[in-house]
Amino acid sequence: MKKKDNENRIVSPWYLTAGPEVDVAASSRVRIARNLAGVDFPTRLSTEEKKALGDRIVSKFLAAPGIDPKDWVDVRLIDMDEPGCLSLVEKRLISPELLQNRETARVLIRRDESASLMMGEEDHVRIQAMVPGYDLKRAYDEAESLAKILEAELPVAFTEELGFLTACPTNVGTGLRVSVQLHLPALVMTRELKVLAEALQKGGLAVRGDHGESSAAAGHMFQISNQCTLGVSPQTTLQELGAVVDQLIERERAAREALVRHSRLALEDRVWRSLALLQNARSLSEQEAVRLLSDLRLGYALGWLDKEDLSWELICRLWAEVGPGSVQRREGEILEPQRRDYKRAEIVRDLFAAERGKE
Amino acid sequence: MKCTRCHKNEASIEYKSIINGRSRQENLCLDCARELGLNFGAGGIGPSWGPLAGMFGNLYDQNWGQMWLPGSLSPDQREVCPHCGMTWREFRNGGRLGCADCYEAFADQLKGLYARVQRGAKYDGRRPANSPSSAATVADEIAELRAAQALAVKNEDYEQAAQLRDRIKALSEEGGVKKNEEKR
Repeated sequence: MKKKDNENRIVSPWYLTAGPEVDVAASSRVRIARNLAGVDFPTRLSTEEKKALGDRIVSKFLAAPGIDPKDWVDVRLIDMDEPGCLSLVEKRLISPELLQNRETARVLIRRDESASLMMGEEDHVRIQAMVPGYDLKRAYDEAESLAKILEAELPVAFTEELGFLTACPTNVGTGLRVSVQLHLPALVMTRELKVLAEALQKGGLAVRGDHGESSAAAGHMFQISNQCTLGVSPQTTLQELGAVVDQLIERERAAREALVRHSRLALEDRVWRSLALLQNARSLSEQEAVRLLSDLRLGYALGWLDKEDLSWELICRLWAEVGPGSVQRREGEILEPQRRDYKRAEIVRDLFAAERGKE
Repeated sequence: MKCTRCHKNEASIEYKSIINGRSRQENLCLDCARELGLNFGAGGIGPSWGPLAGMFGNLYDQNWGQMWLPGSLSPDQREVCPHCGMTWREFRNGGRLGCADCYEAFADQLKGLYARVQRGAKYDGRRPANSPSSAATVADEIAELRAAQALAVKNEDYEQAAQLRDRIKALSEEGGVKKNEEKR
């Protein structure tokens, strides 16, 4: 993506900055589903029709007032290699589902990677915005402003009774999915999360490992999101999710305090060992890398690691670079798992070295 | 009625399935339903990862949260969307509607779904930014809300009044945004 547009300025990605409640909340995300009026949903469209629809949405959006086309990168997944596509999934700029429709899939990505418009998913377009930390309002306002820009350019499928119409009736109404990515190592260690997750699920909220992968579970990263989109206003959706996130953050902090009180030495040892491993290992699986990074994140949040050891930005950058897609994308080719692990360890060491070089 | 599987317990679940286009009905007891991999969520009964999960195809994904009662899935195969030709059965298998008109064509069936996976059946939110009818209706809505607000103040329900005030403010702002966009 960057190679193609190297004439454009390089913008620092959004996830390298810290946001509110960053000790526990990694990021907030809002996704909005929209379909155009008078056009069948994607299940009923031919490949050619889907491509034409993508063209229509992209050209209208990029020409809209308030949008600077230079801020956006237009990607057809069919033109991108496998690792490149995977790295977009890892950065949550596209959904795994979009990758399944690679032939017609298209995505507009804001240069700082904080927003994207996906075309070729189950709905005509899915708009999403991500912000660092726990800031639902900001993520919502960002996504809403993009949705409104699009709606002003193109007629969308809407009825007074049901709101915005979507291909799947689980999204009909607001078309809104609000989620917060939480780092909950202490609730996992104290086994409290399992009980909490069950209670939340009953209350109509989803808790799942980020990306639903085992590596994410190793990193103690969880995503909590709303389920209902009909019969509940966006404001209420945000409030209700916020109330639960507040509680989870408090519980995680309390669990951390308890852990520190009861087994400070063991925990401290774990954090410092993880730092040493990341700095020196010659081979790292994704799972191991994410597990070690989770320890660093926790150590940093507890104030044990300071700027001399590493920066918050480095933790965030490492987190974004250890996925298999990102590792292979740097290498520009598909790698055997073993070579990938060597490469991953090398990338991690290089990033540490680059950080030391900065000082 | 006895369970059609174990023939011992009292049946309490009507379970309809379609395999290779042939529909079959069973009356199951709770134990047998569990054994077949049907789980019992807050919203009813749905397939879990048991052997029957595949029958529901993509209808079971993690976004659903709560599942449909299989009995409510009773197929009415005459229902076809007049616009895109999608059948209710096709939707049940794939989990995705074919076009906006499907919502009207399957309105009755979908009501049952909303009751289980949504909070209600009536939209609560803003209109599209370019909806041609929105100016008039927003004005109407604001007038209605003002009346309700006056009533709330009269009844000294200040919490309600404050909520209404916020809603009026939000609507007025949306209206303003819309007008500016129209001028362009």
